This record gives sequence, C-alpha cells and structure tokens, in this order.
Amino acid sequence: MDVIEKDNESSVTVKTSATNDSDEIWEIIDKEDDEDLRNLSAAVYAFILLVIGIPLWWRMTEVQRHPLPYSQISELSSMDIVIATDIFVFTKNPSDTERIIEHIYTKFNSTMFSVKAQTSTLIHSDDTFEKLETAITPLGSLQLIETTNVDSIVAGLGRNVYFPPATDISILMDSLERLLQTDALSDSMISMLNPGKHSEDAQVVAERQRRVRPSSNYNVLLTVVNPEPDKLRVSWKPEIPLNRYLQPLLNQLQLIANFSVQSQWLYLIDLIQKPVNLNGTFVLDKNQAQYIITPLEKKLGSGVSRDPCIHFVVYVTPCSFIPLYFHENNQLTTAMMSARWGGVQFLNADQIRCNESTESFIPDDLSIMSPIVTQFHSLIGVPDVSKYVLLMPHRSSTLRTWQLDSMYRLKIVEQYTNARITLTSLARLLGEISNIVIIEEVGKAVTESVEAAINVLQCLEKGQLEEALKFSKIAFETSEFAFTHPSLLALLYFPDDQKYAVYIPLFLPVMIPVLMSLKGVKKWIQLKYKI
Amino acid sequence: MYDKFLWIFLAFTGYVRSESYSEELFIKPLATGYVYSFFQFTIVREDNAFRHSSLFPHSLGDIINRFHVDELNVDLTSGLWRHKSWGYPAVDAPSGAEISARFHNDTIDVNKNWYGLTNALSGLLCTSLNFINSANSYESSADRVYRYSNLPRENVCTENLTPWKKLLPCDSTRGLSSLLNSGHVHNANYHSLGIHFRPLCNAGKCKYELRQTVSLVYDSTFISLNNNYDWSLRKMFGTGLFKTCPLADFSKLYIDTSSNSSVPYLLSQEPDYFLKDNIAVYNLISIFHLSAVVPRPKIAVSELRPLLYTDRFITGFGQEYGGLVTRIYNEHRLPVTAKVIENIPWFLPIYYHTLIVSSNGVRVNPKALIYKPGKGRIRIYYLEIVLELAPRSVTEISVQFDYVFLKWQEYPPDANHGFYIGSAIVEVTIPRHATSLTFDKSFIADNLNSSEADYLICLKTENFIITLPTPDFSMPYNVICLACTVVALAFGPIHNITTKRLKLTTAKYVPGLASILQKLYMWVENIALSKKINKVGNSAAVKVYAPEELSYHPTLGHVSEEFMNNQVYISYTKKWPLLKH
Repeated sequence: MDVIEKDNESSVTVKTSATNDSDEIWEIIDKEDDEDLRNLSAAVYAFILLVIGIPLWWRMTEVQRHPLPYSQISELSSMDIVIATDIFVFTKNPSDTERIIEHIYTKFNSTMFSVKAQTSTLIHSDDTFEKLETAITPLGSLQLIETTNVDSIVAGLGRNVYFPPATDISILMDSLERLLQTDALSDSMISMLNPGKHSEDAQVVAERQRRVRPSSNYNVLLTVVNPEPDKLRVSWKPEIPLNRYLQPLLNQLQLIANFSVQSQWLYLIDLIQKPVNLNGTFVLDKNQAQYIITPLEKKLGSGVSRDPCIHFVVYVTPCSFIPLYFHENNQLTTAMMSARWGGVQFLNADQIRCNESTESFIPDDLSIMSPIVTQFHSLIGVPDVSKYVLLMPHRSSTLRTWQLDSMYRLKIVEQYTNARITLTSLARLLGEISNIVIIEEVGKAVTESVEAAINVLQCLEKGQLEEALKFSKIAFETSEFAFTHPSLLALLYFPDDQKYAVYIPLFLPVMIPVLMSLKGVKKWIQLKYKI
Repeated sequence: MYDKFLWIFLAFTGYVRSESYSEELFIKPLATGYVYSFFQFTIVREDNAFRHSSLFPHSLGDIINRFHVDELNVDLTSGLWRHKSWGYPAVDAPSGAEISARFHNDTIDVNKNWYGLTNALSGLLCTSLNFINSANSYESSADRVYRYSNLPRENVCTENLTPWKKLLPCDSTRGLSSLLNSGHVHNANYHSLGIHFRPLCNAGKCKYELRQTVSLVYDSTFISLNNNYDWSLRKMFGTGLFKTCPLADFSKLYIDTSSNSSVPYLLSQEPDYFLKDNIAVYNLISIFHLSAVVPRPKIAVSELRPLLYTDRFITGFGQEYGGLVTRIYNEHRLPVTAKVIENIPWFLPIYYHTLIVSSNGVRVNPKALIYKPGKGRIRIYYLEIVLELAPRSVTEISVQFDYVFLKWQEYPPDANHGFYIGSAIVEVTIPRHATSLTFDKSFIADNLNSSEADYLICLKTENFIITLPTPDFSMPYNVICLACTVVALAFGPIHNITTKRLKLTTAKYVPGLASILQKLYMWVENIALSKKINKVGNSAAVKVYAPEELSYHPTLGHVSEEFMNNQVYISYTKKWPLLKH
C-alpha cells in the first residue's frame, strides 16, 4: 500500500513540475484511487465465474451416470469358464480303471472341463443291468460302466454310459467327449465372442445355428391351418396332445426357461407354390417351405409378447394335393424344420374323407406330435449324439438325465457368455458415447448382473450346475434389462454442436474480460505482497 | 348347391365346438336417401382362457388374456352420426377412436394393464391408442376396474380396416367380410369399425362374446346414378356376395322395410321370411345380389326422428369468455332421466361456478352431480350430471372455460389446426320401439325378437376443435440467443465499471492492437521503401530539431517551425488561391 502511494506520489511530483491547474485536480483524483477495490472486484468476478460458476455448470449439465463396476466387467473377460465334472469309472479290472482314468485326465486337460475321474464306488460288479440303470449319480456327473450286456458303447437313461469289455480306449474317450459336448460348448462361446469364428465340426455349427436365441421365456405356438374348411373337416383338439406329449418335457426344462404353450386354427390360407405331381404323390421341395411360411407369418404372431416364439405349423393338405410331402435328399417327409423359427408339417387326410366327407377327419395324435417333439429338441439345443453313441430307447418326449445335464451346461455357457458380451459392450459404449444416461435402476441391474456372472463361474468350478444355471439366468436377464432400458437413450439426441451453439454466445463475451483482468489482478497481488 | 351347404352346416353344428361364429348384415334405408348398413361378426366362446382357440383370433385372445380384460369396446369412427335425421345407430361411437375396458376384479395394478392394453391394441389395429395416458383417460371412482378414453383426433382409414379384417376367421376371402373393400368403405359418409368383447353370464355360467362390427352410411344419391334413392350391394360395396364363410353357423341379411309404408320401394329378391312384419330376412347360402329401387319422395319425411338428440357447441369470441354448451332435446311426451358425462381435457380448465343447467330457459337443479376437477397434465375434468328432462323440452348445460398456454413441447404437430375436444356422453333409458338395434343377446335376429320394455342407449355428441394460443415455435432458440446477448452486453460494461477506471495520463507508448498494426504497416512500408532506395541508390538526410526550434500546432502538437510555415502557407493558398496571383 505504502509502496504504491509513494510510487504514485513520485509520478505526481513529476507531473506537478509542469504547474498546471488541471493537474492538481488529477492529483486529487489519483490520490482517491481505489485500486485495491477494483482489483478485488476483478478477483471476485474471476472467483465467482471460475471457481463457483464453471464447476456448478459442469455439475448441472453432466450426464447422470450411476457408478458401474467397470473393473469387474473387464475382469470377466479374462476369467475362464471351468466346469468341474465327476466321472466315475467302473471296470472289473482295477488296472483297466486306472488306465481309463489316466486317459480321461489327458483328454480333458485342455478343455473347459475340469474332470475329476475316480473309481466308482456306487455300484457292484454283480448288479443287474436294471439295477445299474437306477443307480443315483450326482448332478452333472457321468459313470462309465464296463458290462457284458452291451455290444458297443451305449448311453443310458440316467447318467450311465455302458461299454463292452475290450473297447478301444480312444473310441471311449471320443464318445465321452461327445456326451459332454466339449465341442458344442466351446463353439457356442467362440461364435458369440468372435462373430465369424466357429468350430470345425459342421454338425456342431449346424446345431448351434438351429437353436432359438437365448431367452428366459418362450412361447410355443401350434397353428393348425385348414385351407379348405368347406371340403374337409378336421376334428382335432391340439391342446390334448400338447399337454400329453410336450408338457412333461417342458416341466423338465422349467429351470432353463418358462414355456407358454398356445394353439390356434387358421383357415383359407392357400399354398402359394403349386406342388409337383409325381405318380399321384405331390411333392414340394424342402427349399420351398418359405412359400408356406410366408403367407402364414402375417397371421401367426400375437404381437404382445416380447419373448421368442417357437412356431409349429400343421398344414392340412388341400384335397386336390393329397398326399403331399416335402422332398429332401431323395427322401419324402411330411415335416421340415426351419432353423430358429420352428417346424412345418403336412397333415394328409384320407382321400375318402375328402370326397365323401360325411364325417370329420380325426388325425393321429402321436404321428403329429412326434415330429414336433423331435423338432423341439433340436430348437432348444438338445445334443444329437446318435451318430457316435448308441442311445438306450426312451419311450417319452422327456430328456435322458445326462442330456438334461448337458442342456444345463449349454444354457449356462450361453447365458453367461451373452451376459458377459452385453456388459462389456455396455461398458464400451459408455466410454465411447458420453451422452448415455445410467440411472440408479440400471446401475443396480449391472452390478447385480456382474455379481451373478462371477457367481456362475464360482458355482461351475464347484460343479453346482443348478445354482450356476440360476445365476446365469439372473446375469442374462439383468444385463439384458440394463442394456435395453429406455432411459439410456434419454439424452442421446442432444448433439454437441447444439450445446456449443448455446454456450459460446454466452461464455465467450463473459469470459474474455474476466480472464484478461486476471493479469492485472496478478500484478496487483505481486506488488502488494512483494512476490 | 343348397344341399351341399346344408350338410356342411349340419356337420359344423353337429361337431361339438366350444366356439361358434356367425355373420350378419343389417341394412336400413334412412330418410333423405341415406342407407345404413351394419355388419356384425360374432364369435361366442365358452371359456375365457385364450391359450387354445379355433375361431377366436389368437392375437386378440392373447391380449385379453395377458391384460386380464373382462370387457372391451373399441370403436374407430370417421364421420359424424346425425341423430336428428338418421335416428339411432346400432353402436353409437364418436368420431375418432374410443376405447373402454373393464378388467377382472382381482387386477392389482389396473393402470398398468390399461396402458399395456392400449399399447397392444394400437399395435394390433394400427391406431394411435398408445397416446392414451392418465391425462386423457377417465377412471371411475365407483368402478375401480373400469377405464375409458377417447382420441377425437384419430384418423380412421384403410390401415385400421386391414388388421381388423385379419381378426375374422374367414378374413376377407369369404362371407360378408368380402363386401368390405377399403375403397368403398372409406367412400361412405360415415364409417365405424368396432371390436366388442364381453362376458354374457346367466346363472353363474358365462359365455364370452366377441362382436366385430362395421357401420356404414352411404348417400344413395351419390351411389345411384339416376335421380332416385336406389341402392344395391354392388353400388355400395363394389361387389356382390360370391361365397359365404364355411366356418359360420349362419350368414343372414336383414332389411328394415319400415320406411316402405311411406315410400314404397322394390327389392330385387323375395326375402326368405319376415321378422316382426317389417324386417326382411335373407339366408345367405351362395352367390347373392340384392338391389332396391326407391323412388325419390316429393317431401322427405323422416320417420326416424328420435325421441332424444343432442347438440353441442362452443361460445365466446376470440380467445375470451370460452363457453361449452350441450343441449339435449327431448321430444318424448314423458319425462326422461338422462345422465350426461363430460370429459374435458386438462388444457381446457372449466369454471365450476359458471355451470348452468336450464330447461326451456328456466334454471333447474340437477338430480345428482359429480364433479372431479382436473389437474394440469395429469387428470381430465370430469362432470357427471343426472337430469330429469321435462317432456318436449330443450335442456341446456353450459359451463365456461379458459384458454390456457401450454408448454411449447405439448403442442401437437400442426398446432394451428387446433385441439380436438372429445364428445360428451348422454345415457338415457328409452322405450325399446324407439331404438335401433339392441344388444342384449349375441345375434341380431335374437335382439330383433326381444320384447323387453326399455333399453339404455348412449348418445355421443359432436367433437369440436378449439384454437389455443399458439406460440411461434422458434421462440425457445430466440429466447436463448436473446438472453445470451443481453447477458453478454450487460456483463462487459458492468465488469469494466467495477474493475477499471478512466484516467488521464501522459502520453505513453502503450502496446495495443492499433500500434502493432501501425508498426507492422511501417515495417512493410520500410521494406518496400528500402528496396526502392536500394534501386535508386541515394538516401534522404534526416534533420533533428532541438526543442526550442519546435513550435506548437493546435492539432498536431509540437512541430518544426519550417513545417508550421509551410502549413500556414498551404492553408492560405488553399483558402485564397487567387491572392497569390
């Protein structure tokens, strides 16, 4: 303060040497100079705008982001799936058992499975075949039993695999690999993580492409199409065979997904493509199935449900085309499957009913339902190992226990991988697009999903398939919920250029004087405190 | 052909089905040359779990099932039904879309189901029912599970007719629905599509009925090419009937011939039988065509003049003193009790104290009155008045409202078109003979035969359009720009005044933009000059003056005396150039 005044005085004395009246007035004004006040006010402006204003503006215009477990999400992609599986081996000769166990360890070393092979203590050598079948084995395990009752490797109804003595161990190992579906599991994971890549085995790829997309709820809709209700009357109630044949299977799958079964009738929908007449038999090429599906599609859907729908269409053949078949690889079939969509089959009525038609045509439930059940198996992803292993005949639409186990494994891997991809994409999107909003609800869903995904891996390592399935379902559902939540897009249409069009006319004229005055303030502070 | 049909018919009825289907068409020539045709496609079903269906449309059944719907009425209408000259329609629907639903009593979150239902139906029928929200739907306090809404602005067109036809078992390929060609349907003066689902319970046993209806009114002076009021199926629908629907239990056509007594007319086919003497009935079996020759009467006498009709209009001038007037005309010789329900949207706030009910100009007190004030953006204004209408009287209900400003985002596209205000509903019980078709039973034939005394009808009044004050929609951006400019302009001087002061100092070199530019200019000039000098090869001597050599120039300050003299000389020569000579 003193320094400045002295400085001012000295300058004033220099001026006064000119001895002028007006200079005296200036002198007085200069003495009254409120430089401190002015600089202080400039500093206050700067403080309000820069220290309070900008952070406040930043905070208020910030896109809401509930904290997400990014580190855990990125950890997920570095964690491998390890499925703990018990394999019990039983042979008459303990040294054979040891040899098989050794082979199992070398075979499954480099796969997703962490196999724990051991000598079976559950059965005795003198047990009958019937008793062997009823042996209770833990969930997810397999039991290899050497028995003279079979001629080749046979997969039982439970979790038993029988093989005759003197079976080549490498063949046994290959069958075991098929039964555990190592290829299908890794293929479904690889194809999801790296689109375009897939397994070398064509059958595995075809099976994967046939499966309906993962979901926790499915609709199953059976549509009976009668194109000529005036000529042919069909007396059939689809609900009865559906309950009888499909329902037990759906009950068995209830841990995997909920299926809602519905049926409807449609009328007067004609074939667009005219079938070819081959010696009194009418034939449609399998590739022409779209000519049946397309005109149906517009009347099939219910439109209310968001869940994927598996369609089964029973097309009652028009009287003029009886009998009608699909033609595939020089074979005639009544049913064909469309991947991920469902199946179509022709129902050929008797020609007599058509012409005379005093009474209605009553179709055979089993002949309609058996292709439907087979197609349903393929669509939900039941492994087809009949090429490699003999299967013990099963008089029901339900799955064999080991098939159900492998369905569990497949669904766990599928749902887990799906959740993982969804979460990592979400995390990446959030990094790339700054306008995405994450509200608390979504944030919680993501956290829950990540925790469930980690639990899936832990449960799999312990071999707890049912728990893992439960967690994978949670992880899948919550990640889908978070990713498709509409609140994410709330601010997405507000582009940056519009933001700056609003901000620049305001901030530029305000900021320039404030920032320029900072220089003076700095000088003033330096002078005042002799810095 | 007939035999063949008969056995098909027998076969279908003989076969035990839980669902039955029938098609009916009711034609009624109206006064002044209009022809009213009413299609009804009825499916009756025994259970209400819609998982498995043979005739009931699966898509609609799924919606009904999913949202726990007990009763559903959807009407999509284009045009206005003129009660005064046309009498009563079978289904009274206001212009636009109207939907009402009753849910199962055990429904927990009725609103969630209601919005789910309207969204699903908007997808199913290609309508804008998804715009239904709490601000335009009415929930009754007496009936927890009932919801009602109307969208008067909805345009009904062929995109609604096509999905509507898809719900029929025979689609539009066979039967009466093949008469519904969109080109002709939308050529009508009035057309209304309806979907009506309800349970019909009798002694604890319920049946579930789905009626799909179409009402069409054609002006026969347009469709007949001569001067008469002739009409025919082909003239109205563009086609005759070729095939009946094989799934229908019966297909029937009814013609109301009651106007025959005043203006006799001629039908091209003899009817199969008569119902109640004046309803001609045709059983439709195969190819069918019908035409009527109706001479144009000398004086148009409307026999359909209804007992009760309504009128509604707005009053006020400009955007001031807005008033809403509903008139109910009672032509009956007995007093009639009527319930008037007004659903007024929240952006039209009404003043309850201005509510005046008068009968023939005399103010009367309503028998009952329920008023639920609306709430901005949340709830409609609901006014329910129960009145006894004096015999041969005109009752007027008037209430004043205000024109309000909306938020700029609440205006619809084309805001200057105006805002539609939906119709009022008048519920009255009138003698059955005065009504048109009734719907106690599933089929038209049964209803025509019914002989109960009174019937409750619902009249829907006109919609109207009001123009709310409409802003200039570039306003928000203008406001932002203006506000920013003002702030920026104000901030600069304020900042300067408070942080700087004007002070006179001795001339001192201050590096500013101007001086920098000047320096730059001199530098460029120097370069140019130096080049010139180099070329010329000589230099000018610079003279340095001592302070005492300088003299003062009023504008230029201290200059050399030589310069001063020159200046004086130049100025003189400029001012008086003649002096020199």
